[in-house]
Amino acid sequence: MVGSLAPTHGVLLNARRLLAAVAVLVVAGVVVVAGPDPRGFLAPFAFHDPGQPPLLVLRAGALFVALSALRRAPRVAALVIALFLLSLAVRGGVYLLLLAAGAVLVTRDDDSRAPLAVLSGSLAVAVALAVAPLLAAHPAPPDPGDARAMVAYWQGRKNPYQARWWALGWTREEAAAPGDAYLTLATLDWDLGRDTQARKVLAKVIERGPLPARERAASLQTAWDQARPAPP
Amino acid sequence: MTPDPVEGTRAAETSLVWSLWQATALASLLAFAWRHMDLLGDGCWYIATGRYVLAHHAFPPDELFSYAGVRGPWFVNMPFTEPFFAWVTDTLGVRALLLTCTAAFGAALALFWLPHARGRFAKVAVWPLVVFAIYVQRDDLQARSQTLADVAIAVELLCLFRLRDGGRVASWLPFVLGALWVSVHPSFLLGVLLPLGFAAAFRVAPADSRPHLAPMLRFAVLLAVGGLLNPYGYRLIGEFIRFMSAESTTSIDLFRSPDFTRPDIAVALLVAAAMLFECLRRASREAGVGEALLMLGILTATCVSRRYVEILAAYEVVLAGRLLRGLPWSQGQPRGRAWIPLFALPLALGAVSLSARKDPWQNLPVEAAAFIEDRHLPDNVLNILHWGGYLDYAWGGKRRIFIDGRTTQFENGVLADHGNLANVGAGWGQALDAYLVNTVLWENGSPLDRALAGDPAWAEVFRKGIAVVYVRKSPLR
Repeated sequence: MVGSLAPTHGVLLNARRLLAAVAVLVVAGVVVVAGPDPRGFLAPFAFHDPGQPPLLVLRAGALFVALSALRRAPRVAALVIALFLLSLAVRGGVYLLLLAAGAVLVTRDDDSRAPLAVLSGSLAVAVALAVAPLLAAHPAPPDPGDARAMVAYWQGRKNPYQARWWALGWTREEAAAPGDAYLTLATLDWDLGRDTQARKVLAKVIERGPLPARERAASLQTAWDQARPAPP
Repeated sequence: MTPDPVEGTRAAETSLVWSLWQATALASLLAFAWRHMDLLGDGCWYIATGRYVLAHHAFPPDELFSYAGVRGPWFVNMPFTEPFFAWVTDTLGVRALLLTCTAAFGAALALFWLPHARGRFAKVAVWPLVVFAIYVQRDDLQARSQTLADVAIAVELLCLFRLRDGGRVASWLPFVLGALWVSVHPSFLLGVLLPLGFAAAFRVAPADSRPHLAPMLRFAVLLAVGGLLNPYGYRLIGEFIRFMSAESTTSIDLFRSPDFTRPDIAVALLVAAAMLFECLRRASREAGVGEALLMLGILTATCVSRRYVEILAAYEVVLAGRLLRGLPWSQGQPRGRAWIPLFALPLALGAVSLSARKDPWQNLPVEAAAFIEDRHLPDNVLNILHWGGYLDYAWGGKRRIFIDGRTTQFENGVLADHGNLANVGAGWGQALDAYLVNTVLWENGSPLDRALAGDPAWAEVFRKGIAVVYVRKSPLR
């Protein structure tokens, strides 16, 4: 009788046992898919390590459900609590805890609906946490060999120092004919308040750059002279 | 029937002794909290920002302190706390600020403890747990807005349990609480979520022990409205969400999982799990499935982030008081010689706590910062994150720093670069060049200290106590 909230004595399959079976399958799936933990099964639990958030939710769910079912068996409950703490100090212990919780669920029954709600809620959150990283789209970082792209990347992140550093590398590609790279470097120096250095870089473009770059440099210089005139 | 005069005198004496014990126990908690209340980077940048607000009667229009942080309009996320910290420090001194925060923290502890633990036995039995609540967060206890927010959390828990017990709470209270809380600390949003969590937890509880949920939901709504009436409120909520979801937040130690191998953390979790079980086992009106589910939620949050350890400890104090008040044998009271250890323990705790010499600046690079200024060492200065706030305070933005505790200002890769420099990871030297660093103020004996000591491009110019200063031999221009 799947989904029944009635006492379960004598019932072969009920919602709790079905959910327990699903929980075991989910955990087995996570273990198979994620493979061995990169930090090792003996490392303490750390939520921000890859793959750990769903396992925390399963820990919490397992603890609550097992304790709910063990209200009249404090010694076994103490064992479950010990396993819970062990699973935090030694992350591989989570599988022992889940096994114990599964055993408790199969062997003991409880007529409260709280464990069922917690178990199903935990499973839903655990699955969502496991799937979320797969759905999240991370923008690929630019190729460090492409200095121009790196400049754009750091400008987008509002870090003028890193952008300037990569612009400096980009200028080496234009040493013969100072153009966009030099203009970008000059602008970044200007924005950082390095007026003298900015004007020196701009002077190189005006002196040796191709015509379009020279024109842009000249208009930039005019704008700078109005904003912050060069000291005499 | 006339009352027995001997019994009457004994009761009056016990009452006086009992009042004395409560005062002693509370004072010992304050002394213990005072011992561990530090002034670290966060409190210092509050003061520095608050000084600007008080001087200009406006929030800063641009980044004030850092040369590497994101430029542009800067959001002050604690519009009351920062000017308040600055005013207290500049008017009464830095010790007064530490005392203020200790008093606020102590008031919160008293609210977690005394109203929930009814009966003398319960109050006495819970006192060690309150001491433990301070002990378990001793490394994170510092003068910052969290101590003021603790009072708000304590008041809210008091109101929610009053509602849970069928009592009433005046409508203006959550409203005013929300308006104040939002100006004090970003945890205001937690204040809105907590009653919703209460209602959700009790929704699952068996119907016969389920309190009315509507007053809890109304409490959450009124608290939210109170916060949003503050003209700054809606932006504070957005800022809080941005802070919690920021990549930088998860890279800070305080926001990562605690060290589960630490005995005090293990004890805190053990107590939480044991109380959870006790709530399920007894399932009385004092503590049942709803309380157990709340404990589960806070326990899980603690496993996610160390910053929730203090809420876990506070909730343990509250719940212990409720669990004990329901016990039939817990209504007794100490008599005769039983008072001796009851007084001796808090007195000893207070004496030990106050005997330690307290230097508010002991964890901050006071001399090194003054050295850099006095010798006019060249910019840019590279500093470690947890000293950035002090440098904001000491230099007031006249000399800019690399990074401080306002981590959302450093989402632009600076926080990651700081981590790489601290660990002397690949490309650390390149980062020093990229940020045009000519002076390094870092921790004495740290990996970066050792790396710079072996680098011929750098010269050590200061080494004392916790700090070391290096200068680039050929400054970058």
